[in-house]
Amino acid sequence: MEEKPFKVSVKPQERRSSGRASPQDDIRNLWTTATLSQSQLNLPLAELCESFDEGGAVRHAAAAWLESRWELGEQGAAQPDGASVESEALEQELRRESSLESCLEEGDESRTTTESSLVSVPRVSRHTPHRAYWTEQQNRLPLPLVELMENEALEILTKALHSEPPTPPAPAKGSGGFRGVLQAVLQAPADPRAPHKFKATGGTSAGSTS
Amino acid sequence: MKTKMKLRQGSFLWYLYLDKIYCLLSVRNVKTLVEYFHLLDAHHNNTLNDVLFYHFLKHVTNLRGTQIKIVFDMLDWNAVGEIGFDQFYVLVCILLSHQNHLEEQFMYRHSRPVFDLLDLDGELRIAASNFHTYRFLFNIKKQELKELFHDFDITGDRRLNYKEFKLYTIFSIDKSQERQKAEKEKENEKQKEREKEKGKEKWKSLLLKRMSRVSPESHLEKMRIEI
Repeated sequence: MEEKPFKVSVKPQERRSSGRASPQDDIRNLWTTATLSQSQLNLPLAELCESFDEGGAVRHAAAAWLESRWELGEQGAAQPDGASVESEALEQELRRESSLESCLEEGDESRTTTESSLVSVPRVSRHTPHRAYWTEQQNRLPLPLVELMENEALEILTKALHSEPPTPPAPAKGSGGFRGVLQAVLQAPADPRAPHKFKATGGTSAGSTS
Repeated sequence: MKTKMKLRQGSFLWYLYLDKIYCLLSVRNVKTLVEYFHLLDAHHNNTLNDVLFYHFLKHVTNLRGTQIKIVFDMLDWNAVGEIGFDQFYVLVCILLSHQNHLEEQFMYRHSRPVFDLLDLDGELRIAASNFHTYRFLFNIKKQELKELFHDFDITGDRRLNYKEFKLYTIFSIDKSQERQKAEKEKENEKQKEREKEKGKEKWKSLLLKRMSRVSPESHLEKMRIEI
């Protein structure tokens, strides 16, 4: 394995026109060109340097393509028009999570083999909507019990309503029941001082309108 | 007041769970109970009036009208004519403890609130008559009530103060635990007896099978030889 990079490195060193053949540069060239594929040997050094990270790691074409996609995704997240890209990414994540969860539910036998690979993924997945989903499920009653509660309350209230005595027919404005009774009580003349004027105005208004 | 108080099977309260040690509802159950209370609160006053309370208890339990009114008077400790959620919660806990046979445990764990409920006159003492009126809530029999006042009325005033009542709750829970142990032992003995009987029956069946496998000709030969 070591011989191959040495063999490969010979040719670019000969083709470089810099002329500085110091040992450190040779080593750097060895490291920089060690991971190059055959197709990239003919590229000039400047272009090669662009494909390297700051830490010196090689950025392959696939990795560069992925990074460009991530950058597009980030830009889309920043901009309001990028919502579709973000939603697509979320959907992809959810699909992966759902498939992984289905795998977890199915196989107890495959746990030992898949645990190591899947441990990290569920942890991440719980930070996404699943946590909120489970907390919400924890706080809610099962639906049949909610229906039972509501139906029972309705039955009790209807029984209570039917047990009440019928409301007096006097108040026409009142809606009946407690409200009607309350309105009748409120409209009844409690103070002897005030209502004289009230009755007079009521009568005159009725006469004028008719 | 001879009928034992029971929760209606399949009602909403029937599905609630009361903790067996502390005789309280869980937070989740309390939340649901709050929702239930608000559904019943038709007037949106955060209270239940006597009509609603009556129909609620009538629907959910087998109590009579007189008993329901007595319970309402007991819970309406402010004499407002309405019951708030605090009192409603106490009532539900009493009903559930009765349903789950945890009356002694409930009185032991919540002796102070129970004492305050039974102390209708506010004299810090429970009279025998008051206790007799409300004994159906805690499943206390007449004879037990007499013994209670006879054994724990230390001061001799025919009333129970809080300390005497607390002593009674401690004694009653010890007694109930002994009863449960005795019942468990009886059940274990019964199970052992059943297992023994099953084992005997198995042995018998095995013997019969072995006997039937042996051919009748060999039996006849043995008989001839013997003769």
